[in-house]
Amino acid sequence: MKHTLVIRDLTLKHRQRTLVDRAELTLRAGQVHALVGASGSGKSLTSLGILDLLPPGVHSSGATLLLDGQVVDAAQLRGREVALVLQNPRSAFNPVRSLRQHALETLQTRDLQGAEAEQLIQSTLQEVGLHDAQRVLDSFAFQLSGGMLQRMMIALALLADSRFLLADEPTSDLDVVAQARFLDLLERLVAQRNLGVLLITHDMGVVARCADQVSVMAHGRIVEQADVHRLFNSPQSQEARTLLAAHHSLTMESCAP
Amino acid sequence: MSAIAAVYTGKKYGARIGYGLVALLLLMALFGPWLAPYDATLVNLDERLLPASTSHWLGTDHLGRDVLSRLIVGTQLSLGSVVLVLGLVLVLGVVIGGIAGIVGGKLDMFLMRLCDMFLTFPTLVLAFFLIALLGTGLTNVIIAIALSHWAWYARMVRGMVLAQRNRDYVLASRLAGASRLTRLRQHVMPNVVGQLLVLASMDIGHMMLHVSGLSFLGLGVSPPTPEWGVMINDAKEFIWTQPQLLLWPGLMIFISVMAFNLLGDALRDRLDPSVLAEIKE
Amino acid sequence: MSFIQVRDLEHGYSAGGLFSKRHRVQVLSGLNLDLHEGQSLGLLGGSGSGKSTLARLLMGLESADQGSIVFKGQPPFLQRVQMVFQDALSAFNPQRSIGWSIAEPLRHLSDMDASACRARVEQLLQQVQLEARDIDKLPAQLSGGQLQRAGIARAMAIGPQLIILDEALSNLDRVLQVQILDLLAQVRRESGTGFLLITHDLSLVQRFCQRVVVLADGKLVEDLPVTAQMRFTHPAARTLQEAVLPAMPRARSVREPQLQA
Repeated sequence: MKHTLVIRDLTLKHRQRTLVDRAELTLRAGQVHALVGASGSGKSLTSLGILDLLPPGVHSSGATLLLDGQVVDAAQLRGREVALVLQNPRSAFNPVRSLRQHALETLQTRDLQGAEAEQLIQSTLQEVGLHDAQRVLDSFAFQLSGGMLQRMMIALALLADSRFLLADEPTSDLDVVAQARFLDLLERLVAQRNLGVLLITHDMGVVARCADQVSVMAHGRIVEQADVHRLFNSPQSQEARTLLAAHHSLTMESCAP
Repeated sequence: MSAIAAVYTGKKYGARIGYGLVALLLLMALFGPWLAPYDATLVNLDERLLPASTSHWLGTDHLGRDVLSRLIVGTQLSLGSVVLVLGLVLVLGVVIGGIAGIVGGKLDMFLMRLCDMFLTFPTLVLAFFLIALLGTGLTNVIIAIALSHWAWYARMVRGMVLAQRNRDYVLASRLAGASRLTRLRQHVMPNVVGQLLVLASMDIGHMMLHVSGLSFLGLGVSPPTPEWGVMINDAKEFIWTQPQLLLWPGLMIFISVMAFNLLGDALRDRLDPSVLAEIKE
Repeated sequence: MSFIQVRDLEHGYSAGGLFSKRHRVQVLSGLNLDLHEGQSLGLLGGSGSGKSTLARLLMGLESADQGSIVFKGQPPFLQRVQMVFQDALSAFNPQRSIGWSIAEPLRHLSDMDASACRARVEQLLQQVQLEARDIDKLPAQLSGGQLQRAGIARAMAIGPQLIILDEALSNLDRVLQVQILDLLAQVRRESGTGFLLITHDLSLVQRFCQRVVVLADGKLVEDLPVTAQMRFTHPAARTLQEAVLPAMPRARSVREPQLQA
């Protein structure tokens, strides 16, 4: 099984403007690597760039992907070794297909069908906390809440037997309770399934909750990389200090002025 | 943002061609008789069915009339009648669709059933029926086509009004103390009218074909008035010997339809708010 | 001094139709609440707790099925209570400049002339830390954070006594949230305006509000002053409190990658 995914020299440009400048990241199985930055720092584009799913007008000028030391192509990783979980879960589902059809489609890429497939789908849905599996599978995207759809996205990622997960602000559209539950699920899966997760967020609280390694991004560049304890205790970059200041001003047990 | 700008600049040439052609057509419609080299109705049986030459750039028709002059003068009727149809259709559509969308309830239901009735009939069938009722002539053609088209627009307008009514900024306007009428005028209608104009400009070509079609069938203008549809009708006898007589009026219709479609594209791009912001920058 | 009194509020709507049985969904039941002048009150609730419905009822956008909302004082209601929306981009007419939109309450609810309106808009822009030249910009030309500031400027325009923020910070990142809360605190200090912050995020309430009420299943289940050591007792409220993200990473060992299959 795969253990490390190294991304090197990821540079994304739009016309002449550089949006992401030589980003370098390492994802390890069983670890959560957080990519933090303010809005517009280039974090989402980085995750899209890894899988070469760039929006029109944006192009990559060279990136190297190493899976356990072997050079691979983004197309080989998509939907297999690496899965993507988006901020707006609703946009990831085909509105006219039931969720069962989504799950079956995912399993088709692994050549799993019939009773075996059905069994796997049921157990995976249980694993992500969607206990009313039959009802959920028969439903369409518009009938379920955002939190449930997020879990379904994870379920699809697990069904694809992906080793690595790129989660782009997965909790930004959820309320605090749904967010807490989702992060619980993520931690459990990382521990049980040995997943390697790239967690993109603007919220240092999410980082404090889940992350092992942290990369801080500003204006398209990674300005600091450290393990989570060192980052919180002695941030080196200005960007990290700004983010932590905002975070602490909301979490210090203080009263309103 | 930049992606939209890229698309827009790609269409720049289309927009310019559209504007240019429409301007040219407008010129011909307004000043036709002065621009035409010959009198469009002057019959000259000695010069029948002449091919293109320096004196007659597009040749002459079966009655010796200069084809180019007839095309230019015909613009007024062909284009004018379409504009009138459009005007009628838009007024009917906005009023009926607007009222249905704003008032709602039983009135809305009644008006929509009325629309359904009109929409059931294929356009030309309804037009034939109305002409049988009203008689031939260009005025009646205009009325007939308008009556067979308005229902679709009324439905579109109603849908647009309903969509706009629930937007957050209309709500914000209500919280700012604006009256229902003011909200309609300042927030709902501008968006509706914008989208409507785009739809209408795309539809002009379609209406033009109906007008010309009915004239071609002899239900519109009567000779010797020049009009493109009539010219095609006249030329159909000579399709094997002088096919160009069919070609020229057909080409005019084609160019007009294309011009308005390009205009419609450009209008739609222009009215898209995010593109509007790019232009301002 | 309470300037809005809510008593026995009940509200619901009918759901269902062609494919499911028509049934009544009760959103608010037996709600009692007092809002005081110049106070910053946090209304905390998860999704489906009924907080947005309460906001709409307070603004007079809908009439409650039962119960009453009473306002002290004479001037018409909209001049005393205004609202900031969650999604800034859809709260502004995309074809009008933000200066025009911010001045809208002034045009309808006050008798200021055009030049007085413009002066007031410029003053408001300065107060919310936007630039004077932004007055002619279209909504699409501003960022999410800037547009939300414009939304606050519009709510402040006629000098209301209460501004309702309906999840108005939920779409912004943490840094922007803190900046805007600081701005609102400043406005509160300078003009004595009261605020009702409707949110699901307790950390925002703790930063900005003096008092917090918790809404769960259409009822108020907690009503506490905001203090550093406050703890909720109702289970729904406790869930909200426990869901708040930690300040520092837990003292766990950094997970080492497990090298088994």
